[in-house]
Amino acid sequence: MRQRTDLIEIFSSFLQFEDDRSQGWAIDPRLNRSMRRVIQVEANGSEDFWAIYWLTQYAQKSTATDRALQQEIGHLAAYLQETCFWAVNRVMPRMGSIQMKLSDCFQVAIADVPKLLAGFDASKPTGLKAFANTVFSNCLRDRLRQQREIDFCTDWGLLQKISRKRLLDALTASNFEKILCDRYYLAWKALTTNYTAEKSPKLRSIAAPDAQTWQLIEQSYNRERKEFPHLTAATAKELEKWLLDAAKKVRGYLYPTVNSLNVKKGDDTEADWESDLVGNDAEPMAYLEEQETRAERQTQQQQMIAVLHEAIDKLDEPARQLLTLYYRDRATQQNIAQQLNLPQYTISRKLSKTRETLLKAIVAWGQTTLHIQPTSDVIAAISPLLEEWLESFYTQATRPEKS
Amino acid sequence: MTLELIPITQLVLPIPAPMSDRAWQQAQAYPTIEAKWNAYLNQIASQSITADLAEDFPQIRNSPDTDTWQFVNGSVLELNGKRIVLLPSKAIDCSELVIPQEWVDIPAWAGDYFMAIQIDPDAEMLHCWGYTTHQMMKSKARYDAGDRTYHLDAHHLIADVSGLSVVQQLNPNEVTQTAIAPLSSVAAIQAENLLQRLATVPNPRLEIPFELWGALVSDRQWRQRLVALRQGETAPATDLTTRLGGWLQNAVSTGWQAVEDFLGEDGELGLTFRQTTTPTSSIRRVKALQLPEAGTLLLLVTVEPEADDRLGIGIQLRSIYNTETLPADLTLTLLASDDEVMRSVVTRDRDNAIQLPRFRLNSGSEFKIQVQLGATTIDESFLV
Repeated sequence: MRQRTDLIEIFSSFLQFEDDRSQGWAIDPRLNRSMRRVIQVEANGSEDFWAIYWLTQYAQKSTATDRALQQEIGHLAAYLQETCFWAVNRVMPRMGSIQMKLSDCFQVAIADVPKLLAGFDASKPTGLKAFANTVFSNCLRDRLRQQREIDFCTDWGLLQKISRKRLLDALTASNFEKILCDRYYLAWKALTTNYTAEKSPKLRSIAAPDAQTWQLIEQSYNRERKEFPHLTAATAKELEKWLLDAAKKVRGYLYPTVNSLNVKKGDDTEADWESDLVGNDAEPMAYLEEQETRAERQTQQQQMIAVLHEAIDKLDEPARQLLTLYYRDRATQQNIAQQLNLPQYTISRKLSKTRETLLKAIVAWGQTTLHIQPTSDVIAAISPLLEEWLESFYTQATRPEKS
Repeated sequence: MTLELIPITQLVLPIPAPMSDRAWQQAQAYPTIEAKWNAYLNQIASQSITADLAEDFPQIRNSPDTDTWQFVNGSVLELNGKRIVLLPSKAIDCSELVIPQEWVDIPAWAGDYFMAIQIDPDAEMLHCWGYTTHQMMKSKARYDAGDRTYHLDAHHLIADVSGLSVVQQLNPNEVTQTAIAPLSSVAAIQAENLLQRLATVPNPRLEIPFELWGALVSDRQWRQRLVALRQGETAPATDLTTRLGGWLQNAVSTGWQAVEDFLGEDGELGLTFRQTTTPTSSIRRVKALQLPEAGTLLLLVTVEPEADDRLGIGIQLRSIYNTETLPADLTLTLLASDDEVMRSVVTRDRDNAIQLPRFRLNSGSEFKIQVQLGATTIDESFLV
């Protein structure tokens, strides 16, 4: 992958894949024009400056819908391409054999940008890449876990093991009308409140309900549907058909045909959003302030990295070895467990505990040196940074490009 | 293999098969499928997370209110005066955390922290994937009036579970809650009417305005009355407080018998209190408790007058025959009159009796003894 350096390109181009390899950058003409326009106003802005600029624009409109925020989301999604690429590259080798290709995984992760931005605390804008790194990896892992789990499940098992949200998301993604969504949802509710595992809590291979249970499900559906004036009565046979279709839709949703920000949709005209472009808001004052805080931030970051070095030095040898295996050698936990002849749960636990020691060291340093109260907000901001530092600390020598 | 798919910032614990089996068995005592799952998932979550946190924080307290699982998902651990609400789910996705309104808007119940927990009974694995504070949650969550739950998107949670330990070590008093409006108070007569109405509806927590429901469900006695009513009990609640002071004057209390009367001349029970010498001035009485899961158990109470108008009190719970062992996870708890847990003991493997350390109370004080197994909770109130 060629690392982008040109500012306009960074905020307007998207990674392209061919034969599952990254294959250069495609420029989005609208984002490109919008970037050119704002750069004319403020020629001295750095990459960070523009990231913060678009984040601020985004935060100011945060009550708007995703559609009204397309421009901001677009620029920031372009900005986060390398972060996403490296996050996916770090997660995938640990997965063993999976059905998804690198490009699929990339698309799954990058599709999370709108939600990621909504969840990001814009008052600490500098942590965006670190936060995105965590979100991309966690989102991809969550998706892969779900895929693995549904592969083990019969349709009836799957219906027992999904949340209401997962069901409704899958139905919405299948372009179901409201009346169909309601019908399927009520059928699912009737099933899960009248039927579950009995002898043991295991659900994966649960059988279809028997005739007697179907009667209960039917009664329950026909009682509940009275709250929904547009729904008519249904028979057990119909309910069964809908439920099996719902299971199919959920499977399809978890193995999607990729449709994300990186795919041109072409469904809106340019005038749609270029009309409310706000290129003149980048004021010179903001730029100066940004320069100052950036210098201050860099000093702080260097100090924090020094604290981290010290904390790692203080660890005992087995703990240091574990970190090296995990972060530098990218060994799977299974692999480490075999090497050290310990159960995998023990490895996972030790890794977590070791990382907790480092997190505590940094937060404690912030408390005594910077007088930052160690609150949960601070944890939320520091934790992704720690992950980013650990990854770069252990891989500097082995990774030529750094996102 | 699934372990690889969980970042090391999150917590994974194995669920031992015996723990799972036992929790599932106990859950069967609950009336609905939803309540069964609540009981199963919360039993496992509270046991596992307590054991895990106790390594760093031995002062952690887990005193589950098992009858709340009839109505609401979630259980509370107490650490350094903070309430950690565990919210387990068996769903395979971790895209949002669902928080019942009870844990957010009832002042006495509100959590300081909320922990998102996924339990996979097939993989025998517990996965804790994030936490948040009451304050952070309130500012970001979406409220669903349809089922009175708050929904918090995964990206708004702190995906680093060890963060909670770090905060508890460095700043245990962090501000976690936003202001919570008090609930309206409910008069006893109105409460009884509401309870009668809730006795037969399919989903009591959604039946009446939240303010009223919150006031009812957060009161232990009213909640127990509701559980009893929903199991078909109709007699009105009466004052069943046992007056221990009266025992010294040979007064009779309903349900209590002298040990000798209970077992006749077969004094086998005389061996039961582990104390070797029982002073002669003491009085021992026994009451038979019926637990659906365990049959008849005996609650033994010894009182002994002491100086300054105080009573020394001993409490023991045992099986009816010496050869019989008590079921596992049977809990015997001493509660102050405001329901604060003072002491609690749980049966270990093959106990045939458990007892609370002997305690002293001034005349006029009140306390409660609670016996809990699975879905069943029995309270006995005492006045010294």
